[in-house]
Amino acid sequence: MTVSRRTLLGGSLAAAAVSLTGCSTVTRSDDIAALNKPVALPTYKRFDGPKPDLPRSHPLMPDCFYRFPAKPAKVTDGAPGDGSKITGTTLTSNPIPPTADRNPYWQELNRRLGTPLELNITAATDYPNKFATSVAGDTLGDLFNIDGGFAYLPQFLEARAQDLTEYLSGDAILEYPFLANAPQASWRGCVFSGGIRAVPIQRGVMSTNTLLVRQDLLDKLGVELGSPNVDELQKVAKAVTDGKKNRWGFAVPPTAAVSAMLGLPNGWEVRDGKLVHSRELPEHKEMLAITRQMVKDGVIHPDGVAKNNQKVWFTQGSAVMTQDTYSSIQSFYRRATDDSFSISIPVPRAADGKVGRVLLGSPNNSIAAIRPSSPERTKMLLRVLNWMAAPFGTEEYLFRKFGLPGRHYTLNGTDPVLTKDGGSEVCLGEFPIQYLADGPYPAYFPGHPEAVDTAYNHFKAVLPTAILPPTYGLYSPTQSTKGKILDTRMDAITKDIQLGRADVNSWDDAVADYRKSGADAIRNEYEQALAIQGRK
Amino acid sequence: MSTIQKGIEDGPAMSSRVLKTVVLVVCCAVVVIPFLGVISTSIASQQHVTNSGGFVLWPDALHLDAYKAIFNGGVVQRALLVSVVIAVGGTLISLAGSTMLAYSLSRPGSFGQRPILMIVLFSILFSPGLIPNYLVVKQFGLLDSLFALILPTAISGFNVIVLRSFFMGIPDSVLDSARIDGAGDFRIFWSIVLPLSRAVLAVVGLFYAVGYWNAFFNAMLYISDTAKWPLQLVLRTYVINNTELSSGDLGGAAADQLPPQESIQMAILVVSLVPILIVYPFLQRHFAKGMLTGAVKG
Amino acid sequence: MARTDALNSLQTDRTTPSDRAGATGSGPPGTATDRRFGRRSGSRSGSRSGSRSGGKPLSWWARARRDKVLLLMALPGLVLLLVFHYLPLLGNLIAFQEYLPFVPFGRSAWVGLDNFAVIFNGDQEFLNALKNTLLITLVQVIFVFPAPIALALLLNSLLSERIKRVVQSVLYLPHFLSWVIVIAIFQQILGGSGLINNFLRSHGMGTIDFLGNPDSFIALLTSQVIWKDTGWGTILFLAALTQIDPGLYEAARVDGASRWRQLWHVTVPGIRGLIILLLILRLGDSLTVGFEQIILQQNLVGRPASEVLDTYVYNNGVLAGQWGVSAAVGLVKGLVAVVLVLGANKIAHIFGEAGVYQK
Repeated sequence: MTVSRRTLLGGSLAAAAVSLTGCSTVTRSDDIAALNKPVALPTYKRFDGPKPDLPRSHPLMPDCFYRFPAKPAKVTDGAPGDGSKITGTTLTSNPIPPTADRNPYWQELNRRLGTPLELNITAATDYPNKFATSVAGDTLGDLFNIDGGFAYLPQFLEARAQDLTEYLSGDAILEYPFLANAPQASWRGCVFSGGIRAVPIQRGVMSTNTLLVRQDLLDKLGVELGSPNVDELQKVAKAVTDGKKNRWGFAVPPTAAVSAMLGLPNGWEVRDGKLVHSRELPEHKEMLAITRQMVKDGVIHPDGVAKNNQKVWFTQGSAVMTQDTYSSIQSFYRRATDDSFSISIPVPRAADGKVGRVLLGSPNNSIAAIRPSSPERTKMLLRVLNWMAAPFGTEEYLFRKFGLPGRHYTLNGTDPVLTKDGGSEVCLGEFPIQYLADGPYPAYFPGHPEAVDTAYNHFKAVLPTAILPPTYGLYSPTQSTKGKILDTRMDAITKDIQLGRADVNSWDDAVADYRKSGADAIRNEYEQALAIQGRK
Repeated sequence: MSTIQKGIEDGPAMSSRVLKTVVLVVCCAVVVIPFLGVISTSIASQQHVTNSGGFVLWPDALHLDAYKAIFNGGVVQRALLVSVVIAVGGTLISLAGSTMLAYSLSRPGSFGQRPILMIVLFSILFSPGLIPNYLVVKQFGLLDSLFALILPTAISGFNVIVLRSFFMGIPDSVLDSARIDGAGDFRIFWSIVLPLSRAVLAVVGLFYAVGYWNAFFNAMLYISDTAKWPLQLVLRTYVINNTELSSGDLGGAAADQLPPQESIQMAILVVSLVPILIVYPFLQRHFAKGMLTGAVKG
Repeated sequence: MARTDALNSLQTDRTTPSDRAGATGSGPPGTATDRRFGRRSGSRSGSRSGSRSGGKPLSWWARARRDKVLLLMALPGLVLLLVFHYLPLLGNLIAFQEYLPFVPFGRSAWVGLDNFAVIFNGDQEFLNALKNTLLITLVQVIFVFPAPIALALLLNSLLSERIKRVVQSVLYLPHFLSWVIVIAIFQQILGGSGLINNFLRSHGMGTIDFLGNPDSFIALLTSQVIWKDTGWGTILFLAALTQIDPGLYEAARVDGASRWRQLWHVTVPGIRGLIILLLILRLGDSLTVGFEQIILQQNLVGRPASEVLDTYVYNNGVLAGQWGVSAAVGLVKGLVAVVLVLGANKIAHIFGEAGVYQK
């Protein structure tokens, strides 16, 4: 931290600046260039591990596995830890696991790490509050998952997270082969103020929202969907809707599919040398008009705009189509009560017949950071994170997610199935270290190889034209303070329009207001950020 | 004298009796029917829950899977103990502090009464923020201590004011006769005021106990050691909204581990209600009428 | 005499019209018993000058010494409040800061009144939120506040103690449901695909939009609150009713008062002090109306009808981790509450009631 820094946020910040203990001051929030200063990203080196069952046809293609590889190989030797205690703050969406003293999985985890791991685990919905208080009380520990909504993230990371640039930039990362197994798109989200200050929890394309269809219901009703454009989609929705039978076309407005069909950008996008937001384009208004018409036609579940219960409606068949992530497919098969239950993922098509532009989700679930530490300790902590990122199909992965054979899981074929103890002690296969570091997210739906095929064919069709969020990894101070507020406001107006409470043309006023109250500033900051990164 | 036991009692007219019955039956039905749904959903099968859109009015069969899931793994049992300790210990501490404070504020003209009363009153109107609270608890070394779940919420200004107003209602003559007998302030408080105030003590005690029983937020902030988590916080982790990537999406095998989310949610509700329903009848005894009569007339 | 004292229970100065001659103003009945404990002779609602038995005023120190036991008794509760409530309240100074949790406390930059802009910028959305808040408060004071009183009186008039207990226990239950579940239940019944609309649809009738209709939103909110909290709300009133001296009813009956007259002249005055106390405290809460309840349903009706102060602040400030803004709003709401409570208390005094505290 020898770089001389400017002070924080506007003029009055000298006080804050000097007060930051230890190293130095942090970057002012109006210094867009400094906040977005690029750095040599870690080299991407795909780990030569278990071969996916289907060939990767595109760099973004997730690894597709029909089943868990038989005889998973051990890919590390020795324990990454040095015996000193490691503390951490992380979250879970599952019931909390028993503490280490009563949890054989955790004990084995500590043994394999070669170091006792003490975790502060919080329920996901409470995490922002927990994170903020832990920051204020300086009780985050050595490793911590970062709440992405935290205000002044770059400054926070400058002050409280280890700068990992010298350890990870360029080929330095090859020291940590499983971290090097993360693509640069993921690392982009870990760079703040010209330093690599976090490691990614990768999700790849699996967190992308897509249109999911109950193929079994379509077959039963004798309706063909194929690869629809807007008109065909609307036609099918009308054909399958029958209010008296409690059956509707969509669980929620299918905005992802319609956006892809209309060629809308993924948030901000450079068009004609200038950043524009999807909301500013005429196609967006068209999408609003289309979804509004769908509500009017009664093809969307009556509670679909207002209430989020689409998983239940889709599973029980009161909605034939829904919008959810690729990764959710697994949970639908799990919830299904009908043996014939089967999901298809239609490829959206533009009016001219070309494959629609699918808007991909964020490459990362979140990021995690390390407390500023000595070089030796930093390296040790990186080795631990590296260990936690061992990819799917390895012995390390099998233990990490499923625990010990016999006690925590049994094998169904080669697919591990958690036992009752496994469910509780390994936290349903998602022990919270998965929010400190994790390997690439595979397309693997155990017990449903046909669903893997469906997903694979879909990926093959849409990935060539799909777009990642173009501003991912750029930092706009206005976006970080006002972005969520603006989004909430625009979402509310969107709902008003869809429900027919507001006229489609009221969107224009809303957009004008949106630009005035922040979007223009955000655009400006993103443009500066793109310029400094040489991406424009 | 036995008629005194009833408040208003003059062989009520038939019509008013019918009216009362109807009103109460309707009130109860409005409450009971949704609760029936809560219990039914907690014991219904996955299929039934799914088919009825997440809320079952009458169960198809008795499935205790949701309850089994909650009580699986030993985490819940330990949390139950923690919760009981906090609720009992906390309520005792709260009642002790609040009744003494309220009593000292209920004696007219006592020294410093007005500023102290204002301190109590304003504590209801202003609430401190999340972070300052955390820093104070940390400063006092209470992180990861069960006292962090008791002391910060031990005194509720509202309850103090309610207690005080009841204490002020105790006739001076009662207290004065004790004073003449040479009893000091604390003696009077302990052996006269408290026994005369059983009804309000039961109410305020219940308020505090329910507060402690249902609290999870402070525990979430202050307790890192999950072995010290109270029941509500542990149960909360069972009902977190399933985001797209959670709950066995990957460890797909975990699939069959959890019964329907809705069932679990409702089972948790039932579980957390049971202790309150057990304790309540004991408290209710103290709502008997005419407490003051004997004491004063005697 | 004793009977009237019992009636004094909720520090109301006026009780039954017939029975309380001379009990107004300066001294409650029972002062005659006062001897060396001058304290008792001071009026309930009267001065706290420290002059006890008409002698010369006691010194500051003498009064403190005299009341030392009382002060000691107040101490534990007071210390807890000061340490765990008032000490962190100092943290509200961040209302004037651009607060950053990772900067040591008190060292964040001072920004004057910037954080209050959300409240005082007078924009249309804010005024609308304020209007909705006050409207909802008004409706709830009119419809929600009396509900538990009426129910308590009804329960109190029941002849069978057993039935009364069962009914009470049943009616308490909804209080323990979280808003998420209450709203889920309402949606199961009233939603677009809920019980009622499904019934209508399957019988070929038009459906009714109960939950998404902005015009009936306040009615919806109010009915939810009534459903959830009326039973629980009776608990304090029932406790107060037990404090009423049964002898008063006896006396009223002897005087030939009808049951309605007994209710009006004995029961209601007996709990009036509590009603006023709770009303005053509710008034202090005027600007707070069910944040969680509303934010969960805001999607259904849209923001114009459902935006209240708390949701406005949440949507405009807190979402981005703006700690300073939420502290600023807390301060302003607290100040408004103080003004309202002190004002309401004053009005209570004018009408001869004791309110939360005496003059």
